[in-house]
Amino acid sequence: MAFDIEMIKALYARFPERIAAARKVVNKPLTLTEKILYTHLAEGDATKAYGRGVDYVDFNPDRVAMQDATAQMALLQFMQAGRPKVAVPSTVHCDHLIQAKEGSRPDLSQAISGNKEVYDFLASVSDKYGIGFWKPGAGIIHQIVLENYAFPGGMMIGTDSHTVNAGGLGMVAIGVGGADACDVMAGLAWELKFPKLIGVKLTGKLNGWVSPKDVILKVAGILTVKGGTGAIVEYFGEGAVSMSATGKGTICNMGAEIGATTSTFGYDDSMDRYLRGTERADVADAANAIKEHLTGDPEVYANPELYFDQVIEINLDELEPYINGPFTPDLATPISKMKEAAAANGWPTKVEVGLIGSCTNSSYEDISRSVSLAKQVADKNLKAKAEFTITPGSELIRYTIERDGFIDVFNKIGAEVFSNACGPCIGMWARAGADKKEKTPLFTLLTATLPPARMATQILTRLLLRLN
Amino acid sequence: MAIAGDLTFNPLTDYLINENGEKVMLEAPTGDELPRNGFAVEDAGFQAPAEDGSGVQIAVSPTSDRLQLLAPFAAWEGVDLKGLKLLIKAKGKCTTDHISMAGPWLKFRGHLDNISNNMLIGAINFANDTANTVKNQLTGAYDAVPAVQRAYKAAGIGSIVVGDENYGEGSSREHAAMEPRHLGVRAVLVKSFARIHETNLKKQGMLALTFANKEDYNKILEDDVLDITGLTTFAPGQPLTVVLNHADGTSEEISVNHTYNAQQIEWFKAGGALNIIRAQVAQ
Repeated sequence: MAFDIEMIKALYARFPERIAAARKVVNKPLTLTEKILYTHLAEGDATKAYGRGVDYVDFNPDRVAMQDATAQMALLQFMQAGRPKVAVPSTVHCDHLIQAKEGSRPDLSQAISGNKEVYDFLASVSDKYGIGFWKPGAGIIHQIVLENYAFPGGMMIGTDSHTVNAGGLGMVAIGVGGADACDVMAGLAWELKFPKLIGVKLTGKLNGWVSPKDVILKVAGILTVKGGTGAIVEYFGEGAVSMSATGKGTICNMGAEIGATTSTFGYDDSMDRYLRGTERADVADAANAIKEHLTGDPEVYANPELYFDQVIEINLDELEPYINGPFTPDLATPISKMKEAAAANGWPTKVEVGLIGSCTNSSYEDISRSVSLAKQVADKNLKAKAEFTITPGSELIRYTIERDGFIDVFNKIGAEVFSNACGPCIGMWARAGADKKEKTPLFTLLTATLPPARMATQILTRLLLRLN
Repeated sequence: MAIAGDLTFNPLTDYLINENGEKVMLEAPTGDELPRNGFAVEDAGFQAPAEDGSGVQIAVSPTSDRLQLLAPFAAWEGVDLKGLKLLIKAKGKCTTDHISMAGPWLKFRGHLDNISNNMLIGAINFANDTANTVKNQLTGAYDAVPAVQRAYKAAGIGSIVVGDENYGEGSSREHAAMEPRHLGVRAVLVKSFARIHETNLKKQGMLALTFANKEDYNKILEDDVLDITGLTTFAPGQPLTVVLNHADGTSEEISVNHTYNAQQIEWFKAGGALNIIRAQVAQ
């Protein structure tokens, strides 16, 4: 059974009436984004249409998620509210304070001893106020949220920019600061400037070497790092429907890199499959009962230019694998042009390390695709030229891929498995070699010139192993 | 790509040379969307909260340097704020990172008093074009911003921070609003605010004010003592008045604007939004 299923059912019960009220004031067919926003107004039923990019609006999000770094002050403040429990379902995830260094087990025990007082505080405050607590080693906040808490049509806030990952299950999930999390847990409304809407129509179907990541890399190339600012990106079309829910999550996750408020997808069979696969048939059944409210209206998707502020169309049949960077995630180069681009710009081309995993692509699908490549290394008598590291997104993923023999395949080509945490992507990575200032092309290139290191290593992660 | 060790390797068209010296191509990856045998896990690492948490003790050591329980901020005293020392008139860009620096300070993010030692240390003082060097009006000596502010706090004297355009841009870091509140700054008066920081100041019970006439920024001098009047009739849309008492004995009045709505004015009066919630919960 899903967590907080009663909350989800109560929300779905309100959906038809709230959407009817929204239709009355907006007076035209609705995008999914509008349906989610208008069903979560603090005022209840909508009484007026809000100006996109203009009006500040109070919302009541359904959930709050916090990572261990930002949770500290948010919860210290929440205690000041004097409430016996949090006002909405909330969770704490210990993932940001684990440094990747010597591999999963030693890194985890190092983190647990080094951060003991923080973990003990977070565990006790969670226990007291009705907050779900995910211990160090359980996994990365966004992966845990996708596996356990995200649900179609929901609205959540999280104290991390990659909270947006939950859009893969049809949510409006937004990254915020600790003060916002504190307010919502304390029972205050949460204010957001009503966003502009960008529609991305995906035609065709992904195949071969092209993955969902290439979709967002392409979008990033079109919109640039600021092009999504103040906007929610809504994906639709046959290409969206044919993609897995975790693939959708990957696209939404990296929407943060274009500055988008968040990204989302309409409810479809892939979400139904993923919900059932993660033991949430109850959520899938409830969603199926109000399916038409959990996606954009057909008129919107038929003539998107009438309803979105900007529309982008991408044909997945023609999409090439992309590599983005260096320095900035919006510099998108199709793989067929990489030789020229690298030569023209003098980019170093040696790949030192491949990172598989992170919150962006550690789904079972991503890792099984990587395994199919890793197997070929042995079968074709090849030798991997670069190091590999694996960072599973959650213990659920790690346990399952170990059971299915994937870790063995990676070990055979010399890969190292890190803790189920953020380590390498947020600069929490004490990499041998990095200290020696050896010529590690992209790594040094990126970290030396683009502070903070967090951004650089995130880009590195995503561009180096974008093919996994 | 990591297999090839080369960023320009295009698996759609390029060969690799294997250990036997043969040319081989990689086949496109294939995978399963979901595990055929379902997901499995022994210990997912989840701790469910107590059904009734009222007896649970919060684990924070009084000697910790990383965590500190908070005490409620004091309510407004009900009268105009008079005799506020100018702590700093910041010149140019003053982001949340200038107000509450990140980097090594982040380890104190759960300890308000410790992290307050980074308060405004990145802001440039207009009087000497230097960061983290401001005049202590009580002694005339120059010192670090947090040290001077702690001296005012110890003496029971309020202070004010003055800033330029888009003050507090950057992150939504709440510490940038909590630190000045904790150390006894009463008001932040700027040419313009980044909205999120402005809201965070309001939530903490601070006065976030803007110059009605931006040129008035230039009237504020290093040794000024400021009064904020009109607070007893504080209302949405109504400007307040700031009196600049200069060191030479002269004074002038300027008009300042604010964006507080009725609810936010209650936050100010109660000393912070959480104080209101606590009062409501207690009823």
